[in-house]
Amino acid sequence: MVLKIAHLYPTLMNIYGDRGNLTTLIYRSKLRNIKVEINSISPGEVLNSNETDLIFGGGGQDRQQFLIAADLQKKKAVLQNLIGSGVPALLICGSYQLFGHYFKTATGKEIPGIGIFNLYTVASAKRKIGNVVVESSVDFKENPNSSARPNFIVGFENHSGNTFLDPQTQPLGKVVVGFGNNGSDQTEGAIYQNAFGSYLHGSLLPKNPHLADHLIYLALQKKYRLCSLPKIDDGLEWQAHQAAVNRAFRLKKRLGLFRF
Amino acid sequence: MRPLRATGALIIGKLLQLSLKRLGRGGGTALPGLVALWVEPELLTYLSTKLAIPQILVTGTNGKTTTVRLLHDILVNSGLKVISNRSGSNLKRGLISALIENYSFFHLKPIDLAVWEIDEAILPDIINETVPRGVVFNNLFRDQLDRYGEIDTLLSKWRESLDQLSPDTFLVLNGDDPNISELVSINRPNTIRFGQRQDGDLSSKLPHAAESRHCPRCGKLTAIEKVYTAHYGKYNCPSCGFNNHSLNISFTQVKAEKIKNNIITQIEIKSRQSHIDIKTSLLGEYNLYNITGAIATALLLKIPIGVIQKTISSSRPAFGRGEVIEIDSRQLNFFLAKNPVGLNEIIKTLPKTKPKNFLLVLNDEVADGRDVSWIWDADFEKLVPKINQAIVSGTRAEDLALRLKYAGLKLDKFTIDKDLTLALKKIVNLSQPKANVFVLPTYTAMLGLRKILADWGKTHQVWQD
Repeated sequence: MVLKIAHLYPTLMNIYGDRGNLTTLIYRSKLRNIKVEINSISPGEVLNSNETDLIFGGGGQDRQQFLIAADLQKKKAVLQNLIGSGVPALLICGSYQLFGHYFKTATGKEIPGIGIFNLYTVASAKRKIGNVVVESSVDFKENPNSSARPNFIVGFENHSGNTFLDPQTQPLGKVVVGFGNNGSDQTEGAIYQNAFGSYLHGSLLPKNPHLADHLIYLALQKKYRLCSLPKIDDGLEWQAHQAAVNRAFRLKKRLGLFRF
Repeated sequence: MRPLRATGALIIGKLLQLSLKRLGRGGGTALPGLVALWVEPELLTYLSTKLAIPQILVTGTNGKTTTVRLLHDILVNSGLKVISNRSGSNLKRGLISALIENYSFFHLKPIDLAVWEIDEAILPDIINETVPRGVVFNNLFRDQLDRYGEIDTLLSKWRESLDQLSPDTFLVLNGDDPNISELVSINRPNTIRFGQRQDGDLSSKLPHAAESRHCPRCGKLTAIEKVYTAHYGKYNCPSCGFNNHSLNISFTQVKAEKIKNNIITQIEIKSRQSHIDIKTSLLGEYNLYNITGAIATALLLKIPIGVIQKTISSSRPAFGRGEVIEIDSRQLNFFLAKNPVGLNEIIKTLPKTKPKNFLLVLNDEVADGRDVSWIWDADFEKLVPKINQAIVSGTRAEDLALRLKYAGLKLDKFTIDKDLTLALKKIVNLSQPKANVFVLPTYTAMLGLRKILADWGKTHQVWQD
């Protein structure tokens, strides 16, 4: 089996270690004898539907978002078709924002998005930075955990943008530690069909093997009618996940120190 | 100006500093300054005016401590009395603590010059208060993502601050870093750009941690003629014509040879006025940039070449930047690792001989940066083949262990031990007598290790550096 991943704008949207998400998808696929092909799509290059089983976009600064916005508009139709047909996608931070309707920057400029997620983002003066624990709203078919335990997703956020979801939009989950989309409504991220948007770095997938496997499963189930993904040794992944969750809770309690 | 309050602040700070040292609670390189500033927030402005000495600021992502140490030693060897925040305490409280160190019996001891290592985020503030004689910019990489928000914001704050500087203030800029080279106009007087000039084959493919493939002036994809390290290189933008070819001072690597147990690198430094041969035992290309930056500054200050050469050739690595400490005959090599570019450079510098034992420590305290995502941007895949056995420690040890697993390190080659003292003991015991062991910690982990070693009597305390 071959998993073809379209990596959107890798040389521009690559600032927060989000490459780790691809490293994770490749590693976990390889252990199951699934070959992974990464297609890097830069501005001006064509996104080929036939060569795309999964879509990935990472985080970047305002400047890089300006640079890709126009090109992203040209790919709007292709991306809407792909995601509408159930192709899974992972969009982090800057990419997540541009998959919404628009992003209004601190200078008042509005960068148009492609409206896959029904949301919009507005820059704010306050930067939302810190460890995040999210109680996931995703139904993980491949989740090794029993449903009795809270289903957490753990990561780290760093954004000034406040994202507001349309009431009908499903968030990635409910914020337990951290700010999330806007620091007020306790939502984090967004889901549309099999596209997942989130502010979480960390990187996101290494410590959330259930989410990583869910994405791989969705891609291969659509392409090959795969019934289930073979289990692999996740001991260290879950150890890291739990340690990060504990750390997030512990740091939440500490007093913030002022800086001179 | 409030001289009484300032004096009060100095006295209180001094008492605190003496007490801390007497009680063995550290070297007083931060807290006394913090308290003094609380008493008189404008203390730095007051002292700058009172002392009326030239102050030189050194900033950038990687290499500040080494550059400051080299410059400090060159100046001292030329007969000047120099004050510096040598322990790497580079926030305002660090400068004040160093000045308090110099305060004795109600007056400030005479000094000729100050050389300060300055944290990138507070540079504009320090420029405002000290009105410096000169500023040195090493480089700008992603570092502690959560502390600085975005690089572009930092750059624009720097530019704004530099625009307001008197043209008499000299600037020493790393010309191979396009972001730094572009900080001021090419026509600005009293501005020196330094960099590497090497002929020969260099890869034209940028390693992943590089983030400037796009012209810093116009944003278009630019052709890079040569790539040195990370995003350093000779840029030539076809769209707007930006190029950083014009260097005032350049270094060329001549050769590296093994003399006794050290590797000595020889470089040639060329400027319009001079041609200097330099020998150094500091390793890594990044250190050649640090050396050249320090030398460029020293030349501006009219320091004789002989003094410069002698100082550089006898310089040993600064705290945690390649220094070697012996424990039970094992040679522990310490390399501070705090961001992807720095770590990639360290990995490149490691010996290509058979695999060694490593102690890797990842902390996420405020001074390290809370966001550990950066480890996924560092090329651990290149480190893995050099690892025989690794012990992983720190507040985020599990993250680092996972990174190693995904970089291809077999599970039986590493263990997690969150107790730093135990981890250090273990790696020593695991290693053969006289073996080289490599320790790669983040900043607070380095401080923690240093304290353990000082308690064991293996080395002096950080502030005695």
